[in-house]
Amino acid sequence: MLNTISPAAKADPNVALAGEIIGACVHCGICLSHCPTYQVRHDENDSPRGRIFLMKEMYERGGSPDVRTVEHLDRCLTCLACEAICPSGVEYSKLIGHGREHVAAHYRRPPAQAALRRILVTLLSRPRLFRMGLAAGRVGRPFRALLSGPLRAMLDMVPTAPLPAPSPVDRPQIFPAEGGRRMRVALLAGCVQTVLDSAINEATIRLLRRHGVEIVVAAGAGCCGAPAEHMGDSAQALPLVKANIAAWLREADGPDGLDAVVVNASGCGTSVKAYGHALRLDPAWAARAARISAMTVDISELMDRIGLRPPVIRPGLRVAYHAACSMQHGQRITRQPRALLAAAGFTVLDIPDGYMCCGSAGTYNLLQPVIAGELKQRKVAAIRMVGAQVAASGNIGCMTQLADAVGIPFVHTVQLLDWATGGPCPAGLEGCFA
Amino acid sequence: MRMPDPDRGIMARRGELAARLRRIVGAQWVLDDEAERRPYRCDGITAYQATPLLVVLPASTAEIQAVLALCREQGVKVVPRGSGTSLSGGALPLEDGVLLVTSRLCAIVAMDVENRVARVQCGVPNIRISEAARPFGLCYMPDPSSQMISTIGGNVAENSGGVHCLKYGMTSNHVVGLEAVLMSGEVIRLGGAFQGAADGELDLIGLLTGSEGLLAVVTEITVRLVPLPEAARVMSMGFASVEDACRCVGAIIGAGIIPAGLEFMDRKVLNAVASLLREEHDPRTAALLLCELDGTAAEIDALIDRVRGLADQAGAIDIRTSRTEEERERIWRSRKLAFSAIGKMCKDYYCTDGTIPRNRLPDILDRMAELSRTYGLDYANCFHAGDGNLHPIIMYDAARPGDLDKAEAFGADVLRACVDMGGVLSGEHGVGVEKRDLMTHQFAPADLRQQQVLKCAFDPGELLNPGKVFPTPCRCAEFGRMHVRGGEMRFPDIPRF
Amino acid sequence: MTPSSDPVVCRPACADDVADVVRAACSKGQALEVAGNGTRRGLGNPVAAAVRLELGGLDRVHFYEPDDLVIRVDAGVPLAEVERMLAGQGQYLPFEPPRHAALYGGDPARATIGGAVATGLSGPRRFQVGAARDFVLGVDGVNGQGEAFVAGGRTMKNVTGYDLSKLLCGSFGTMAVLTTLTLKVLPAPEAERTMLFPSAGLAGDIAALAAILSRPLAVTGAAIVPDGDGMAVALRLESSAPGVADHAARLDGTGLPPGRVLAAEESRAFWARVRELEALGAGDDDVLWRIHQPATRAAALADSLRQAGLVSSLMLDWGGALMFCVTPAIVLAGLDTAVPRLRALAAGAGGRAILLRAPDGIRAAHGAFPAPEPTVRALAARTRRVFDPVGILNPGRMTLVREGAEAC
Repeated sequence: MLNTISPAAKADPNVALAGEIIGACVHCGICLSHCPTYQVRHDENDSPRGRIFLMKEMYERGGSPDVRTVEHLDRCLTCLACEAICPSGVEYSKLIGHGREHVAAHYRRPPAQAALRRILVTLLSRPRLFRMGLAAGRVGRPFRALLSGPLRAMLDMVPTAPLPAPSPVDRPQIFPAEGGRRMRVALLAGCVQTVLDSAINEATIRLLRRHGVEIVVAAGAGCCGAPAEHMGDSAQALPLVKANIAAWLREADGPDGLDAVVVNASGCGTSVKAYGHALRLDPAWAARAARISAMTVDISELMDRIGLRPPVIRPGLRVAYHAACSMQHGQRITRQPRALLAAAGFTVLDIPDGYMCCGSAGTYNLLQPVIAGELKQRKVAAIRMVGAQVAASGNIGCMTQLADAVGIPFVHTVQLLDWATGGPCPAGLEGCFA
Repeated sequence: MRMPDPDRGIMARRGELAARLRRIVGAQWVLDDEAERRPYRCDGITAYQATPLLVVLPASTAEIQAVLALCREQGVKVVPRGSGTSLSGGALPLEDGVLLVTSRLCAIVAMDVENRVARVQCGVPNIRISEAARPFGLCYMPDPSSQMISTIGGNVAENSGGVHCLKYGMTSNHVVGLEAVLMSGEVIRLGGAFQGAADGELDLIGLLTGSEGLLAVVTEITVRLVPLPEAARVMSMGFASVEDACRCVGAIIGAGIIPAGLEFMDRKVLNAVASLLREEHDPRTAALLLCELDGTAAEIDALIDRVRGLADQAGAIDIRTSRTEEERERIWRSRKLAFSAIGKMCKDYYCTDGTIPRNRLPDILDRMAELSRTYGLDYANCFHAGDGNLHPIIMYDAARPGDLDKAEAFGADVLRACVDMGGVLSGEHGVGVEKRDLMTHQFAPADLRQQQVLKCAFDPGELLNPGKVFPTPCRCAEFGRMHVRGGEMRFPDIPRF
Repeated sequence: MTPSSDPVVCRPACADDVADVVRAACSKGQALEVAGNGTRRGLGNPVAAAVRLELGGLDRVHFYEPDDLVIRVDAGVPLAEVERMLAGQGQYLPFEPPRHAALYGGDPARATIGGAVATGLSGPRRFQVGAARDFVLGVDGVNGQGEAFVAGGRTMKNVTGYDLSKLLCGSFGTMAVLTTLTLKVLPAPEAERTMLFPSAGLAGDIAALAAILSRPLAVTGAAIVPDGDGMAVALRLESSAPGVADHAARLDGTGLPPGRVLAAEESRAFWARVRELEALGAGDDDVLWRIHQPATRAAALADSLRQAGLVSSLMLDWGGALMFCVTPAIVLAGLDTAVPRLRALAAGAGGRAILLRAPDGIRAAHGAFPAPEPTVRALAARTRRVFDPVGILNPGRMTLVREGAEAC
């Protein structure tokens, strides 16, 4: 699409890049077919093509973006189904990412909205604060009927079950490989996941060790920065990004080296794989960031590379595999998780309209509860339709969004792989396997 | 492209109109903020743009009735739009007109497997019908390349084609019933939910299909479903010259073989696709034909043998035939990627859509080469060879002043050449605004008038999608005066352009 | 079955003369009965006109290009002549146009291609390959003011402007006089085979046909016809020779009882009889109906028609979506409500009952075609009027001219 973004505006390399990406869009509309918000809203403004147009106008006009433009950019889930389906290869993820940075830098949000977003970024990227927040949320839960919008959504997200205790595995340390080291990897312990479901990291570590992998939880590494980045808050995100890069490179350049950075939450993995892009303009960090992005893999990619050991038990359960957007669109990983589950003896069932987002999308379910709720409802109905005994996904966000409604246990893919190859039965599945 | 002058008086009443429309469809479904109206400035062709007066997203036939009735009462123009994928500017908004977006009418109302029909709302994307029919072994055959998102209502308005229409026919061959709303707000129901439902009535379904939203807003469509073919295989046939490939097309059709699809790609397209896929392209191949054959395994085998023989005779230098579904998809991939691959090669491209008698293919390709030299613009060819439907892809740079005009002039000359060779201006994209001013090249004034007078029967106020398809308005008022005097008049004042 | 006083026949030899005739009639406000060779004048409502404009004199073949699958002929060329030409190149008109001339005492050999298009009649293959309107690529015509115009073109794909060809196809000459037609033709199938199975009752037969038609089989005929004392289900397969064998083998698994096989010539003759309704065994004075209804409701409709004593024999085509039936003359004579009653029963089954053949008086009273709902009727009237403002072309042929109602 032709655009008339001024040369002055294009002096900012991010705006120049946006101009190029917009130029690649031919306005064919194919992306609308895969856009969850368009499926719910049916308004061009809530479609990728519409948002590209909105951003084009935003850059062309310069100055402060108007409230409607911001509203529609905010509604994007960043699920990237559009980018995966685009016949012209429009790099929407970069466009919306920089678009949000532009909004953050040039648009003054109403105070309540701004405060909410600050709280979320702060809470989600700091596990200890997040834990405290959830505890407070449980106290507030009885009052949810009095609230609406994001606050109510936040309370609804608070798990009703007691939180697991902080897991010892999430502290910086080294887990040696069992039976001879084939590989050494750094695991992103993450932030939200360590609080909501510590069993995932525990299962990951068992699984990797069993397959001859030494795991290091590097000191100084923490949140991947995605919560801030989703809100266009690069000022908050970049320090976290740099801390991770520094921590992992210390390991990589240390005596034992590092074969990979492993991420077991695909939302975080997508962010880490984009570190190279995020810091490409920073001469001090560009090369280092690119190096980390290049060595980052999802746990399913790594396990696929290593090859799964023969299962020691054969639960033979029917698994509804929910492909997280960050997994299938963001990282384009579609084959490996299914193949691993099948190799572990599970019957893998695909969920209809599997390209559709479940509405979780990082902090989306907190900021856009109405659309997120509608998408959740659709996804739950689709999962219930396939007649599975357990649902699995590679992303904590989706699990949190869907677990309470699907009517079957919802676990992380690694938990099933761990179980089949000798680990403990995941909580909730005990009854399913005699 | 010159559009009718906007009515400033109407534009000044935007606020009042928005308020009245909100009473019909609900507050959030009328967009009057400029920022939100601008993404609706164009459809699938970005060369033509205009910001609509208002955007309205109704959710039902009843709401559409009320919106149209209000607009007619207020003298406000209306442009219907589905997903906005038209390649001829059919959904180009008007600055003084309401853009009526049908995307919220997206329910599959009924799947009637026994009678092999599906009743769907107009905003349902084409592919959704086939998805819903697949569990029953049925499908909706017309498959425009936009089928993932283009709505069935838009397909009816444009009488969309696609790769498979060579064997299975265009949209109009698959519609058995329609519900539509006239500009007056009246609902008409035509045909029914079975084949032949409209036989013995004036074929208003045939008329509305392909009428580009000028006569009525189609709200519900009943389409015919057909059994999914048992199997399909595709042949990829390379030729050292474009002439050889054209000769092969003629030979296949002439031999009485109607493939499920017969597509042509020239060297530039093949190079572009190869570079996109980081593959090597055989430099000897100047043109490639893809020929899909479907039916039972034995039928396909027999056809493949015959087509291979014909291709050999025509001088094919490389023939491959898919043996598995994966191979078939791999062969088709180059065709599906053709336009994006070209898009990567040049700044911008302009693709148009003429049709010629199949036996004139070599002539039109010569003419295109000639025009390319005249205009100094490069072009590539990738089209539906089996039905002579051309899609010349003209490459230009929109940022270079004058380039778009040159590209359009090049395209127009190709279309004129199509008409001169016995063909037509549009095979499947529609006339819209893009080819509007070329209509006089294909039709004499009397022929055009015979089409345009229909406006007087459907929308005498000429409020529905004006400025499209025909280079001049119909002037129903004049027609009305003439016909009042009916019997006794000679022919002095028949409206002329 | 002609109007009481025989009209003057005007038989021009070229399109220009047709335009002159219409222009003259228009200026005098004089109605014209538009016909080809007048072999099917009993189809549709009787037209009261002092002049009959016959197109039979326009009999030029403009071109036939077999390798482009297209033929352009004047409206007056006999259908049989067109089919003979196509057959010479192994091609055909897929919509299998019925002659029906014999039903009205006409000579089938004189039925014209223009008549086939103007009546829009399509034969047994229609439910799979499309109707007459799907094969009309373009027309030349003369409107009600005597102005010649061209619509459509000669290419398979054409979305340039409104599709007037479809609108005019099946309009019974009430909008324009068709002078030349450009038609899409196709290669005729190499082989055909028909299988006849004893009927297991209409409802069961139709369900069995529905199941077969939902499968990718090359079935191009699916009828249920009188056969001796009972009924028989007829299935026609058309494809290449190995294809027909292939499809026939697949039919074996569909639960049909063993059937009788009609090979090529026999099969062709059989479907010609189906097409021309010979199997109905109607007497010369009996009333013939053509009823379009959903296949799934045809059996119940047939039952109710029989129970009401309205029909003596019937047959189904298009897998059950088309019914032909006979109301004996004697029933009609004794029951003047027979027509509305039958129409009401058809409507109750979601169908539309067309009087294919009936005495002038019956058609003049009830209309050969059931009236569409008022909004559609009014729209159709306006549509005709913009083509024929004075209302001189076959007035009332499709819609009755009633006092107070719009003439169209």
